[in-house]
Amino acid sequence: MWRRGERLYALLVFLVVALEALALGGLVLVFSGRLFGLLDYSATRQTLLQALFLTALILVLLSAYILLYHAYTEAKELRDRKAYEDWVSRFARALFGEGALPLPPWPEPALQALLHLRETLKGEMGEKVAEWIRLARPPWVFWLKRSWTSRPERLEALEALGLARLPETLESILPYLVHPDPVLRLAAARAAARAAQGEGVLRLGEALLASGLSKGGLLEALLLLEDRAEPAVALLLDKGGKEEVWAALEAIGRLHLHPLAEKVLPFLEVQEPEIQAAALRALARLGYPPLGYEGVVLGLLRSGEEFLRVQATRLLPLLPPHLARKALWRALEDPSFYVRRAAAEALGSLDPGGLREAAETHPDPYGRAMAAQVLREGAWRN
Amino acid sequence: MEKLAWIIYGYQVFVLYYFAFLNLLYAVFAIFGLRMVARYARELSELSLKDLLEREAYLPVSILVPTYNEEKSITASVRSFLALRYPEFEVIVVADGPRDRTLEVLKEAFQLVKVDWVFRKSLPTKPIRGVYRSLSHPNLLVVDKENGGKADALNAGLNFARYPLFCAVDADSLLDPEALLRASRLFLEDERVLAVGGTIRPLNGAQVREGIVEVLHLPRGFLEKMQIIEYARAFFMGRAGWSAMDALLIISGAFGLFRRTEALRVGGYRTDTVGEDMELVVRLHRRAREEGRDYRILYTPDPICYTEVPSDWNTLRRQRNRWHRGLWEVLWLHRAMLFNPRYGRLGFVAMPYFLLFEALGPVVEVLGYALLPVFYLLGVFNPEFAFLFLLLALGYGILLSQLAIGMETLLLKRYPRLRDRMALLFLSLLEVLGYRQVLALERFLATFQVLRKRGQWGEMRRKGLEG
Repeated sequence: MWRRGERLYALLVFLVVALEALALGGLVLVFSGRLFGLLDYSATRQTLLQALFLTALILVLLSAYILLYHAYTEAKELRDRKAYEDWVSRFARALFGEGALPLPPWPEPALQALLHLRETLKGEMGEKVAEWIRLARPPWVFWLKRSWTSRPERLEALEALGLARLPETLESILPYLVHPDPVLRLAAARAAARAAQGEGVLRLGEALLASGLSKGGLLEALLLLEDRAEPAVALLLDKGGKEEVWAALEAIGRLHLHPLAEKVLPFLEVQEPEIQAAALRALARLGYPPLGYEGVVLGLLRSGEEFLRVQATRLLPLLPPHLARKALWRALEDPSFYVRRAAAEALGSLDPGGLREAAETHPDPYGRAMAAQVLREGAWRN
Repeated sequence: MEKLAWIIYGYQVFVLYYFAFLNLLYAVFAIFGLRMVARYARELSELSLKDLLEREAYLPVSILVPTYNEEKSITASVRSFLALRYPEFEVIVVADGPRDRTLEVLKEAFQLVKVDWVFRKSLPTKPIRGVYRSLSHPNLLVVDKENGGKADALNAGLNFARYPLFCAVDADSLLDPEALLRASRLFLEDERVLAVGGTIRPLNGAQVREGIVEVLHLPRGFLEKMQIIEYARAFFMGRAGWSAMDALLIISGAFGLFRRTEALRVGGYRTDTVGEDMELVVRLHRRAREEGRDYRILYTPDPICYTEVPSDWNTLRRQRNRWHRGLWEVLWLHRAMLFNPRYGRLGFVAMPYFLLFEALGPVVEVLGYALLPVFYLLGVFNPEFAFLFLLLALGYGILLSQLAIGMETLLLKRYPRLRDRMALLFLSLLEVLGYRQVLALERFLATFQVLRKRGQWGEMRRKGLEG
């Protein structure tokens, strides 16, 4: 994307802007001097000519750079792409026993090819590629530890380590989770989540607690852990603040972490609507009935927060059927469009006959219309 | 007479100060823009986009497509929206009482059938005549309504939208397959983000297959080529610069992504202005500032939307006239923000800039040209000086265009042929010789037509995307 040579271009832009500012500043001074009779016309004319000459020079320089850059990168990108494809096929042949593994050291395109294969292949073959990456002695960990590494290099290293998924690199990544730069922090969370294994997952959980990442960033890291996520999610649920708990609850639902379902229930009662909604969503996704909390869920149907009523309505089918039907029938009268919609959908999943009945006989015309709409959509989908 | 000469000279000096200050501002934009674009390019991780798709961490999006008389381009556009690489989205096409075959074309292309539909009327709109669903694309909804203008159509689309983010696009536009993915990422990474605007590029000259732009070449028409340069300058320098300064006031109506609840909270699009896209953004800023919230409205360089740009002078002039009237209307509606410390850099930098340099710029420019004969008649015209000054002004204009072309080369290189790049650089010289002056004149005229032409869009002639 952003090709090499941007530093030179940036330098060129700074030079252009500085020269332009100089010329403009000079013109302003000379014109002001002329306005107050301090300078004669020839001085003004000379400054104007100098500014013109400078602008022309800059234009020529800039055009030449752009054209040379275009031509150079075109050729270079073609070369790089070919080298990369060659290395992918050489490694693939070695992987399938159709050729010998070329001896390291390998050039940059070879490393890129290995990372691509590592990302594509799973299981035994993936581990074999990981071994080859180790064999290549990539510079990424060194870049992360070195104090004078530039920001783009650090980002590049974190991305490469995320792709390589080498558990032993986790300790080099984790310090970046408390880095003052939020972009590096997020990149590190992603890389660490891809690399963490076994004990490392808990270490990552601890680092996430201290990271101060946004809830979106936290959730992303947890989702990247996939089936390894449980210890980190449990830790965030136990020791986290509002953001961490929200992310953990979302992750429990999305990753279907059934062993943690019991831990979700107490969050239905906290005084934080967003957390309550996340807990309701998690239970609904898990299909886990809120045993002992039925009253709480029914109470949330009277909440002033619309989004909370929507989530509570969606959970109703997991309550005992007699309670659920009654509550859903009542929720079809809710003033909120979205609650009525959730109620009709929930009723449809719990009791299609009840939905048909609601579409015909529900006393609230809006509830009736919504039930009819959801019925039609069901028929549409089928 | 001496006094008159002094006044005239004073005006010239004023023009020079104006010119110098404006060009210095542009230089600042160039630096901020370059920094912003470079940072974006370095921070964007292709891996993170892939993860976003695979890990269900995305936010679903409703794409709103207001359409009026777009029978030529609507099928290709809707196909491009439906082909987007995004896990969960719906396309809501709002036919705003078209007088051509737009609705029929849609019905044929996407096997539409009329359905009864319950929706929440959060925003008032003109009456809905019918709702259609597609037998071939379950995530396509077409709303037929009485004509009420683009903003009214967008409001109707908002009433039907289901998802937390909505993307307003023009019906004559195509989106890059990954545009939504890249733009929506920003909402996920930062909860403070209220809206994100992307880069718009002219579609003319592109090879399109199944609604996807395969390769971009320079179009044949002179006007279309000129607009390529203009768009590069506006987005890679203007918008990028303002976004870097946290004072982005414009998100193009052709492609913008918003949090739906935020847009609803401020009352949706205003229907009494032709600058409804800018107005919504300014209102979002204003409301957030008044509430003392920490928020962000961003421009992101890579999500690309291709739009068909006018290929004839009349349509182009009408478009620019409308844009300029829209700008004046927005400035008037939000005049309370001007130089108001409550609105921070918006009140002290962005709004005054738009008033003094964007809205009044054409007046200063056209008066500058128009006064030359007056100076000549008064005997205070110095042809050598005028010529040199004009050359310098044109030189600076070319310089800005070339900086933008350079930025595009480094970031995207969407025009892969070297000869296209050479042509763009050459055309940046031609752009300042006539093209820009004609548009300045149109904007000058628009300044005095704001009240008379209030709410008028004017007919836009399109060639159509399939062609």
